[in-house]
Amino acid sequence: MIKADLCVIGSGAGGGMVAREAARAGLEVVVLEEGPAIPTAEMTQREDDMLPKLFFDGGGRTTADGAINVLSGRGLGGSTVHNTNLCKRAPDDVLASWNVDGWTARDLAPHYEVVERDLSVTRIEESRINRNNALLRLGTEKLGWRGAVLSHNRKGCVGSGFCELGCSFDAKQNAVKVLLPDAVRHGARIYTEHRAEQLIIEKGRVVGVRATHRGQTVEVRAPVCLSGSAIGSALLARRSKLPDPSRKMGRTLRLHPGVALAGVFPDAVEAFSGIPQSYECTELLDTSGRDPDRRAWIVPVFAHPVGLASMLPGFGAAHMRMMRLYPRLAVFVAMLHDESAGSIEVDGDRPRIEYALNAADQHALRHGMRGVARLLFAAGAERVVVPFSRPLELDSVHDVDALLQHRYRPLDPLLTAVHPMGTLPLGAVVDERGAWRGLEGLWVADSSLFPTSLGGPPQLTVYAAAHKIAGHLVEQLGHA
Amino acid sequence: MSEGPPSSSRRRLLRVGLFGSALLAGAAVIGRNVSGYVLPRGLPSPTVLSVREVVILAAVVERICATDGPDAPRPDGYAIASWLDGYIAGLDVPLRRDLSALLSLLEHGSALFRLGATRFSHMSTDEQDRTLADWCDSRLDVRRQGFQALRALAFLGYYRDDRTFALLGYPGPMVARR
Repeated sequence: MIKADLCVIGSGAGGGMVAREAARAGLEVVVLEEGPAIPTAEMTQREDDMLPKLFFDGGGRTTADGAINVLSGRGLGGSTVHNTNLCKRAPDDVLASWNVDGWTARDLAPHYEVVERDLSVTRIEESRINRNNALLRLGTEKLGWRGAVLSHNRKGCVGSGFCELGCSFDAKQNAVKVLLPDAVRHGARIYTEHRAEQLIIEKGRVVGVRATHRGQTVEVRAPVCLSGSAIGSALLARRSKLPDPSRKMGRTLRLHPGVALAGVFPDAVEAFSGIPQSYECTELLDTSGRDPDRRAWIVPVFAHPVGLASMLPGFGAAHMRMMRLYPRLAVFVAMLHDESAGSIEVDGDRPRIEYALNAADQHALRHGMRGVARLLFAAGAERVVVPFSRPLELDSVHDVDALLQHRYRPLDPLLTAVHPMGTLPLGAVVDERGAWRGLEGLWVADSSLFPTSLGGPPQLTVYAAAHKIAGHLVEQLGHA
Repeated sequence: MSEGPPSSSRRRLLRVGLFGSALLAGAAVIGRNVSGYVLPRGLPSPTVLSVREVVILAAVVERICATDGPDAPRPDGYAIASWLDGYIAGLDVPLRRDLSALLSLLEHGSALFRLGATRFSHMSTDEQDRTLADWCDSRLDVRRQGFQALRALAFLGYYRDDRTFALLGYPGPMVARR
C-alpha cells in the first residue's frame, strides 16, 4: 500500500499542474499514469511506431457508432505529448456562459499568466509560418475574414513537423518537460503503467484508489484528484459509482468534432514540414452562440502518410491518385464549437463513447465545410476534396453551396475529434473549487470540468484551470 | 443547449446497434464453420488472427490499396496482413473480437444481401471493389463503420512502408535523415 497526502490520477496538462503545485506546497504527492513513459530518444517520427504508443486503441478509438475518430493520448504527459502546442485563452463569452463563480476571464487571467510564463508561450514568428498555414492566412485575408497568428509553447523547435507523433527534439514545453520534473524535484512520486480501477470511498469520503500494475493490485491511500482526461476521469467516476446529485456525471461530453477538406494547389505546399498549426480563421466562430451558421473554428491540419490516407475519402486507385498529390495538398479543418452532448458509458473495463451530432450541429457542420472550401479556393486551390462516403471533388468556388445540401449521417463526412471535454462539469458535478459535490476528498482538474465546448484549443485552459484548482486543493489539504 | 443525445438519435443508434450485432454474430458463426483457407508458404503463423482472417484481410488490403500505376509499390496483402496481425495483438480483446466478426461479415455477408454471392476472398477483383464500394456508401451504419475500420488498417499497413514515400514526394522521418 502506498500512502500520500494526494493521489493525482493522470499526468497530462491537468495532472501535471496539480502534481507540481501540490508538491511545491509541501504535500506528499503520488501520480498514477495508465500509460508508459516514452523517452525523447524513442520518438521515432514513424506513425506505425508512435500511434500505438501515444494513443488509446492505437489511434483508432471512435465513438460507439464509429462516426468520429476520437484521438486521446495515453502515456506520461497525456495529450501534451502529441498535441500541436496551440495556446489560446478561452473566449470571454464562453467563460461568461459558464456562469460559475470565480471562472470569468478576469478570474482566470492570473492563472493563465503563470502558465504562459512557465511554458514559454509565445506567438509564432512570421518566418516560421509554413505554407499550409500561410495559405489559410491568404484565403482569410482575401475574403476579408477574421484570423490570427497563434501562440505556442515550444522552445528550440526545429520545425520537423512531427508534433503529433511526439517531439524528437524535446522542444515542447509541456507537462513532461516542465511540470512533472518540477513535481519530482519537490518529492512527488510518479507511477507509470498504473491503471486506476476504482476509487475507495469510506464514510462519504474518498480515501484512496485501487489500481492495477501488470496484473497486480496496488492500493494508494490518499485524497484524490481526477486528471485522467474527459474520457478517463468520467469512466473512473462511473465505475466507482460516485454520487451524482446533478445527474450529469459523464453525460455532457463535447468533442469539437472536425471535418477536414483538402485543397489541391498548382505548386508545392509540403504541409508535412514546419510547424503544423500556426494560424486560425475565426470568421465562422461566434462563441456567443447567437449565430447558428457560425460555430466552426478553422485551422490548418496535416498528417503524415498514414494519417492523410485516412483523411482522404475513398479507396483503391482513385484514392492513390489523390495521395500522389500529397506535396500539393493544403488541408484545413472546421472544428465545431459543439452543442451536442454525448456520454461516457462503462463497457467492461473500456469506455463507450456515445455521441450523436444534433440537428443544430449538423447545420453548423455544413456551414463550416462550406467556409473551408471557400478559404481553399480563395487561397488558390484548383479543386477541393470533400471526405464524403461518396467522395466529392469541387472544381470551383461556385460549387461550394452544394455542401449546404449535404444530408449528414455517421461517417459521411468523416469526422475526427481531438478535444474531448465537459464530462464532469463545473457548477454541476463539481463545485467552483473543483471539489466533487456530495463527497469529500475528491477533486477534478482536467478538461472534464468545462461546462460547455470551448471553441478553441483547450490545453492552456486545462493548465490554468488545474492551477486554480490546485490552489483550492492545497489550501484545504494543507489545513487537514 | 441540449443535455444529452436527442431521443430519436438514441433510438436510431440502438436499432443500428442491435441489427449490426445480429449481423456480426451471424457472420461470426458462419465464419467459424467454413474452412478451406491456406496461407502462402513461408508466411509466419499469425499471433491473434486466424489463418482465415489473414486470408480475408490480405484480400481487403490488396483492393483498398490497389495502385493506379506500375510505379507504385504493389501492396503485398499477405505481408501487410501478417504485419497487421502484430499490430492487432496490441489492441484490447473486445476490439479484436469486433474485428474478427467484421472480417466474417465481409467474407460471408454478401450472401446475406445478394443471392448467389460468393465469399469476398474468392470474388474477382471487380466484385471485391463493388462490394467495398457498397460498404463505403451503405445505408447501414454498421457497414460504413466496418469499411472505415478496414480502410484504416489497410492504409496503416501500406503507407507505413518506406517504399511508398517516394511515390508521395514525402521525405520520411527527419530523425532518420540526421
